[in-house]
Amino acid sequence: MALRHGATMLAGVGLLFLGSLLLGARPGVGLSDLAALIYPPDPQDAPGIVLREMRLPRSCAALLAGAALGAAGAVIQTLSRNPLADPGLLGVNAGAAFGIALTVWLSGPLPAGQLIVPALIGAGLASAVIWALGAAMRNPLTLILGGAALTAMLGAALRGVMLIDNGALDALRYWSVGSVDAVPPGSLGPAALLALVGAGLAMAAARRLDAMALGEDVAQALGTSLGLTRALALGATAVLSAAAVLVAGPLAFVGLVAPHVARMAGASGTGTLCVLSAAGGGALVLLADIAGRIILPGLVIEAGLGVTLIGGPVLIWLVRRHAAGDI
Amino acid sequence: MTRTRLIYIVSGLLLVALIATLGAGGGSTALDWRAALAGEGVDYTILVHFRLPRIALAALSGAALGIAGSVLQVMLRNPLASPDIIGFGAGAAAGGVAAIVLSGSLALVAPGALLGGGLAAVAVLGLSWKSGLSPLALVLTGVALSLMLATVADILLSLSPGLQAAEAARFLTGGFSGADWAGVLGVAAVLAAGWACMGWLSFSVDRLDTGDEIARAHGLRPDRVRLTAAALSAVIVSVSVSVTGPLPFVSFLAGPLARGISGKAGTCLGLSALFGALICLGADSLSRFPVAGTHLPAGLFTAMIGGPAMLVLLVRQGGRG
Repeated sequence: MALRHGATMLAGVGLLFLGSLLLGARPGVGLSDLAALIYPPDPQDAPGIVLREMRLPRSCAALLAGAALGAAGAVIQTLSRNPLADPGLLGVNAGAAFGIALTVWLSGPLPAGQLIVPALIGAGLASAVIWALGAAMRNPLTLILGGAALTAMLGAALRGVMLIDNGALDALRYWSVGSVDAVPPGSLGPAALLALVGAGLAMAAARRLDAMALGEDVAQALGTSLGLTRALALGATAVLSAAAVLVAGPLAFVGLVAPHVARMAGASGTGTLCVLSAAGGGALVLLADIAGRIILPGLVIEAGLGVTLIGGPVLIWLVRRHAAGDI
Repeated sequence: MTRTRLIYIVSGLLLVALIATLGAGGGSTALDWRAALAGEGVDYTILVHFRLPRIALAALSGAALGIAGSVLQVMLRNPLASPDIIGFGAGAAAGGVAAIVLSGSLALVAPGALLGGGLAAVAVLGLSWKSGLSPLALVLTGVALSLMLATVADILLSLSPGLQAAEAARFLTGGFSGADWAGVLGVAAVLAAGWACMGWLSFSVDRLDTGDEIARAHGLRPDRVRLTAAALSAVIVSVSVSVTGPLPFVSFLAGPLARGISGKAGTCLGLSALFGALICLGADSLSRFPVAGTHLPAGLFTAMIGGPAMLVLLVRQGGRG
């Protein structure tokens, strides 16, 4: 069941990726132009150049950020046993974005490879704060509101930096709204590497999280170290979020929605859940970005805004479904 | 009124007066008090047309947000359920932006904000209503709706031509630097009316704290009381936001501070208003100091103070279970 749904989801992601390459403000980009992806197009070939220089990085960024956030959401939801957890809502993305913005403000524009460090530090610190709420972590309300407070605070700090440094306003606006509209040049490679590290951590955490799902006593009896499991899971969340923020800024709701889609597709163990969530997250961001490009002609609605407009109702629906109090 | 309470209120009022006086004197231009008070020249103009409305607006809108938040928190039995968290503030802000962008002028901001705040309140209450009002569902729905409304405001911003976008962006960074006496009067009117209604309602709201069954035995209708209080709170917040722009965490912070310091339960309207005013005056004073050559808006400081305060409150609440 999970396998069949998984194959369907992967096919869907592939189709959306293709759609993201072919649809957009510039008409007349057809399947025959896809050759430009392999061979550098000649400078006269406008559709080929649009495809290779603009749509390809954008689609890759959407796929990468969505997949990373989807997997991160699956890990953090399993760890906290809270179906409403999401790196975007919990402030982990805002932490990474603020780390990057602060660094850009203090030291001027840096190559994307060097921004990995502040992104990781920011995401790590934010997840540590969320973990410090650990005593109350089982309470869904506490976790979400703590995350909302952290996000609001970091958002205000980010706006402060933007207001102080008018010259960097454009560069910094990118880090306040999630978007794949202008992927920072050279950021895809480092982010992909980072996402791979995060995926490795998530896979290492997955088996232990499965044991923990049986109950902490049982997990310890099976020889699972609770501390190590938590550290691995939180580390995976932070690294995956940092990778996503590096290419696409802080996208909220992707990590919330994707695991629910994956569960509907029949994912059971944490490992399967992560993989299917990654597919779901990639599909979601690709979909939001394509819709944002074609809904209003002449205007691009950033993917972060589209994702929020899709994810907000999902959160409300989840809350309504669980309103009996057993969230 | 007990003596300790009197001491709190008097010292709080003295603090408000002190910050206000300092605020009137401080700023980018040093004020010559003698000339200003004698009603002469530039100093008088600065004092009466710039400094005084700004201070009055900070104090009044802080007080209005304080009572709106406090009543909602007591009613929902959760200090985290304040109008700025459950979406009323975001609704009013989005409504104000929509009015600016669609009409092209600042004239319709107040009705737009009222409409936005009212619609947001209806949406939050309607979506979280399930055979009664569950505070948990209400707060989570409100968080989701706030994020969506902020997104709508952002899309409206990118839709609008440059000049209106600048106006709308200025409205969205809440603060008191654009204060005038007309705005002060509006907030003062809604504060007076709102305070009167809330005072009448607070008896019932305080009784709800004992549980719905006991409240019903007292002859109250819990859900009707909740709806009235929520509607009143939405109106107060919307009017305040339409004048000052969004000021995050003020309505959230005032109530818990008032209850924590006085050690009393219940709505504590007077003290909440006092602390709301204090927070706003403090944030406004901070916004007069240039940071790296720029004056940051007051709304930024309320968020920077309110965020950590909320985390502390959550940890303490979690520790108690």
